[in-house]
Amino acid sequence: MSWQTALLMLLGGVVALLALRVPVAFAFLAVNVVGALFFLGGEMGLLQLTRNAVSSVSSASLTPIPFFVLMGEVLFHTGLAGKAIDAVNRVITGVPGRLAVVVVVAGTIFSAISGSTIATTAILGSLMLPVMLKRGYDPMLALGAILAIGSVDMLIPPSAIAVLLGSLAGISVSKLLLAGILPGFLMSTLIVGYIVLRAWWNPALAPPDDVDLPRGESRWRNLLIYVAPLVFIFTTVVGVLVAGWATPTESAAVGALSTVVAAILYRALTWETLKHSLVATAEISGMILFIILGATTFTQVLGFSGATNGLVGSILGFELSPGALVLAMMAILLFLGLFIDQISIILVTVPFFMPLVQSNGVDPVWFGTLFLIAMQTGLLTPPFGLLLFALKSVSPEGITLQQIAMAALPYVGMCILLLALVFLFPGLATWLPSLL
Amino acid sequence: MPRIVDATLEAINRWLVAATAALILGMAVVITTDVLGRNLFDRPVPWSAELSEYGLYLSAVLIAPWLLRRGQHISIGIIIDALPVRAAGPIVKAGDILCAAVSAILAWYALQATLRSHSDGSLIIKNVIFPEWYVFVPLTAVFALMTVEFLVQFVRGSLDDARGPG
Repeated sequence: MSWQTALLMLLGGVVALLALRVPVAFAFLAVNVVGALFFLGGEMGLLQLTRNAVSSVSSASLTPIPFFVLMGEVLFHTGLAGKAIDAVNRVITGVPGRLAVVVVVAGTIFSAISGSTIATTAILGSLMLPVMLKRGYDPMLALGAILAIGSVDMLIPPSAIAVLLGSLAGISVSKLLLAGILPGFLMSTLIVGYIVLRAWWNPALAPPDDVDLPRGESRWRNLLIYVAPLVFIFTTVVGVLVAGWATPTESAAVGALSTVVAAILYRALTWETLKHSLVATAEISGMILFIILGATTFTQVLGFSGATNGLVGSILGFELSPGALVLAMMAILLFLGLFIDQISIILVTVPFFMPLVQSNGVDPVWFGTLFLIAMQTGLLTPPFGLLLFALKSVSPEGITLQQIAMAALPYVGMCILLLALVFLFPGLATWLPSLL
Repeated sequence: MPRIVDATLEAINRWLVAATAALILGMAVVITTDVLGRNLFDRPVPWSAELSEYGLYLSAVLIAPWLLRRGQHISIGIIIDALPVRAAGPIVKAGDILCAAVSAILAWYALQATLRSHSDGSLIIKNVIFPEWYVFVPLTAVFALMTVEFLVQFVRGSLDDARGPG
């Protein structure tokens, strides 16, 4: 069988099953069963498939995922998120589009303590969207701010998807987590700048609302009580990584347990909230990990079929410069982001992209950061922008999916601008990891 | 479908999700104890690495039937969503049968891996030593459970569950 036929059968098979709403994990498993029969020696290949299923998710590099998710879920279910938003709300005054700015600042803080973009979007959507709409904010401005900062969660550590990408692509997880920090905060700043500019240009989009806020120094007290400890947890998680005192798994576990302990100290943790947080964590990390379990053998099947070498060899035959190659790969990721979820994108593209990255001497940490930004964009692009659906599920009645998708558009442009900036100035991604 | 099958599946899944949740909390506690013990008291927990690796595997596997039962496995379906319900229904049912078949095949080969490993006496030797076949048992059980679940969905009609992303 030629590599082109094998590629069509394997990649085409996965895409066709995905399009027919077969769950992602089972689409990969079905193709792997066929691939094992054809390319991995039949019955022996099927036995290997089950062995790979075990080894794929008993990997130390993936262990941070549930812990990073747990941090966000505890914040969400204990109500600490609401208190942190309230604290930020008290200290940001006199800014055009104030509540939307509060959303972005609070979202940046959550991003620094939650590894789940969905959790961050759900927190902000359920707590802040009704408030902004009630105060007469333009729905597009309100929705857009939440979506934009929700997607930034993918860049700012702890990020479950960054761990997944690092693990599967063979990029240092610690370095990739650190590499997302500067671009993440830069994106937050861009979002705030855009909101302030729009609200200043057209005040009707965001009526002033800070007349009844407490004045004086007392308004900083809640920031100290409810936000400073969260920032401390983030600093601890990142600090022990940078200092080399703990592995990503260990720093994630310490961060997760610290969040639980913080919730206990705030007297916000009950048996029910702990149970809900843990079940939600099990569900979200289970969704991610079971897809990995289903898809791991896919890379192996592609390799044995000759499809990987064939396609990579053909692309290398074009003799593109490393920069042009990276741009082409980013274009593919942005296109796939329109239709496919982020985990599937990683699983489908990494087997082809990483050999190209290595053979062209591209810095894997820089490439991984660009990869994350491209996928962050995919969270916001219809028809399959995961955050569009996450926000819809917590929006008040009357907000349509179309409105949400339209609200995301300016921020899609901003993600592409960030992609361009990190492409042109690699130091934005590589400086912090170089300190390791 | 007899109510007893549904009730049994629900009860099993509730136990599995409780076990997964407890496992995640347990992993966080043990790893943190190891980090603190190692750095502050020179008393590490030597088996914490194995617990986190195999705990992660178990947490991925045990929750899978629960996710399936609640339609929470990520799916996309850009073609299905564009079709009228009458046309989409049979395709979704065909998907259920395909997934049931894949699950059954994997349950069978996971069982074969368990039996072979048991008869070979293979061991996993790290800080903790244990028979390798232990790790294949949950995989066999979970794929068998999901075979039944897909068949139940096929009988019940899974279109409603399958609608909507993620």
